[in-house]
Parts: sequence; C-alpha cells; structure tokens
Amino acid sequence: MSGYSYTVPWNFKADQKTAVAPEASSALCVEGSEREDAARYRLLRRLAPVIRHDLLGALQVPEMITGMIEMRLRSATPDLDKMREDLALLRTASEKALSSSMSVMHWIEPEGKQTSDLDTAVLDCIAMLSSPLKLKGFDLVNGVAGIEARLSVTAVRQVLSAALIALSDHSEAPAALLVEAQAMPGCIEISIFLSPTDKTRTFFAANADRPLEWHEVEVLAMAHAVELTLTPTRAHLTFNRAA
Amino acid sequence: MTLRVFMVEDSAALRAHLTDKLVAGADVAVVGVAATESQAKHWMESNPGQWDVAVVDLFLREGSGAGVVEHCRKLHPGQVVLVITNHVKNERLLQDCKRLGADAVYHKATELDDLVAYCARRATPSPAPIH
Repeated sequence: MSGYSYTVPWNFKADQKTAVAPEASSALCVEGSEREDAARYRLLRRLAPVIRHDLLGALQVPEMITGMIEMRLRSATPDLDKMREDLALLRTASEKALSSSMSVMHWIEPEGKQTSDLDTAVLDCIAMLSSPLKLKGFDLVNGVAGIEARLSVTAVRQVLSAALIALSDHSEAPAALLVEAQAMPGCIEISIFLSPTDKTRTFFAANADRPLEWHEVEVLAMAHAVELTLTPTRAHLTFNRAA
Repeated sequence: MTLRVFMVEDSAALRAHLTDKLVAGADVAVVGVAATESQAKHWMESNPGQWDVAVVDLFLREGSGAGVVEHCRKLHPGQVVLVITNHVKNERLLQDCKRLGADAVYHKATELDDLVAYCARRATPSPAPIH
C-alpha cells in the first residue's frame, strides 16, 4: 500500500461556486449532491450488518415470547399464571423493541440539526462500530474524554464512522484503532491512529461489500465541512464547533 | 441423555427465551451462559468437558463470537459449536465460520426451530442398529 496524505479544504464548495459560471455551478452542485448521496449509501451499506443486528435483536424477543404463549395454549390445561407472566413480558419486550428501533432509525437520520457534546458523539460511533470491527479483528479504543465542545451529530456519525471503516478496510492486518481528540480555537480535531497488533487474531471477513474508499470518506467530509487528512495509518478530522 | 448446552449471547432477554425454547423442544439443560467473549472463554476454561454443545452469537457487545468459536475449537475439538446470527447468511459468512471451527450456522430470525431440532436429535441419538 503506498503512503499518501491530502487535505480537503473545508470551504471547497464555496470556492467552486465563485470559480465557475452559474450554469456550470448548478451542474457541479447536482454532481456533488449525487456523489454525497452515493457516499452516504456506501456508508449505510457498511453499517447495515450492525443496524440489522440491533433491529432484529430487539424484535426477536417479543416473537419468541409469542411462540412460548402459543406453545402453552396448545396444552390441554394451559398454565394461566405463566401466560399472564408471559403477556407482561411481551408488553415490556414490545416497548423495548419499539424504543430500540426508534434509536436505530434516529442514529441513521437524526431529526433536525442536532448537536451533541463531543464525548457522546464519539461514543455513539464507537458503540455502533465496535462489534463489526471486532469481528474483523480490530480493537476500537476510545481515548476521548473531558473536552467540552458541541458538534454536529450527523457530521460526527458520518465522517468519523466512514474514516474508521475505511482505515480498517485498507489495513492489511488486524490492528488497534485509537480515537483521540484535541480542542483548537473554534474547532475540534479528532484523530484516529491505526497500529498493527502482533497477536494472531481471528480475521472475520463476513462482510461481502467492497471496501469503503478514501474518496468516499472525502466526499462525506466535504459535505459536512470537515477538514480531513488521511494516511493509511492515520486520519485527522477537524470539525467546526456547533453554536 | 440430557444435552448440556453452553450459551453465549449478549441479550439477556434472548438468552432467557432461547433457553425456554430449547428446554421446551429438546432434552436440554443450559449449564452455563456468557454475555461477552472474555466471560465465555473464562467459563469454558473453568468447566472443561462440562458441556456438549456451545451456542454462540457472532455479534457480542464486548469481544466477538468469532473469538469464542475459535477458542472452543482449540480447547475442545470433540464438542459441537453452533453459531447463531442475525448477519446475512452469505457464502463468505459460512466459509468464515467453518474456517474458525463452527459445526453449523443458524439464522436467529428464521432458523432457531432448526437449532432446537438439531439439539433434540443430538440429545436422543438413534438406537444402535441390531447386528
């Protein structure tokens, strides 16, 4: 893998608009918007296994309780007390399934222009990606704590998640991925450091999707005005602080 | 013969209901449970030979089921390891599970009845043929 590094200017779109004729600008915006949609779709595809796990996991409990109630009903003398207990559990499990489904959908598409504190935003991504990355042999380590800043929820979820997935996709061996943050005037830099581990570990490649490419991470970064520097072993993401 | 099952599943509710389903459908005793990879490895090392079938979820909140399956196979080559998952059961997943040492893979949404049927067959083996 050849080493490289590049930086995406945060004001890329604004520069383009002033540099080209209005009709060409309109065409570029459409093209840019399609590239953003394509990159978001690719990210969603890569998150699909964990979304699927969370949604199905929540819905399976009520389904299994219903199965138990049906089985009890088939008995010549159904145990009504047990069935009452099952029904109470079914109600709780259904409420949890609803709440869990809402959380997953909200993760994908937050309502309005939501902001979150830095710790929560990073933890959100780590909670989402920890299991699928672990399956691929990657340890995700959260080194972000104690910095007071508010960031756009969507920007962190999309750009940080994409950068973590891309770094793991392009690593030739299992590794540790350390996420750290640094406060800067008006912005927050989140850094990801990939360091190979010397242990022999399970490398589970069940995801049949193609790797997430750097240019797709770049498109997502541009869409959220995030400055991005990538190398095969590092990513630095500079987010504007939310008001 | 009562089949001794060790279950590795991170959802407490699913553990409880899968246990009910197994016990209702087969001569099974769930002899141990774990929610994480490290708990599972610790239990297996503390209880060698105390289980016949390990039922292992691939996605765990801490660690991964893949690590548990590989650990099972290294320590207990004669015992059966069954993977349960909500992941799409594609060819790649099946190959990966087989490479790690799993004996079978069951989809949690559609194939748990098959898992119970497997345990029922395993608990009550066919009588030996008369010579």
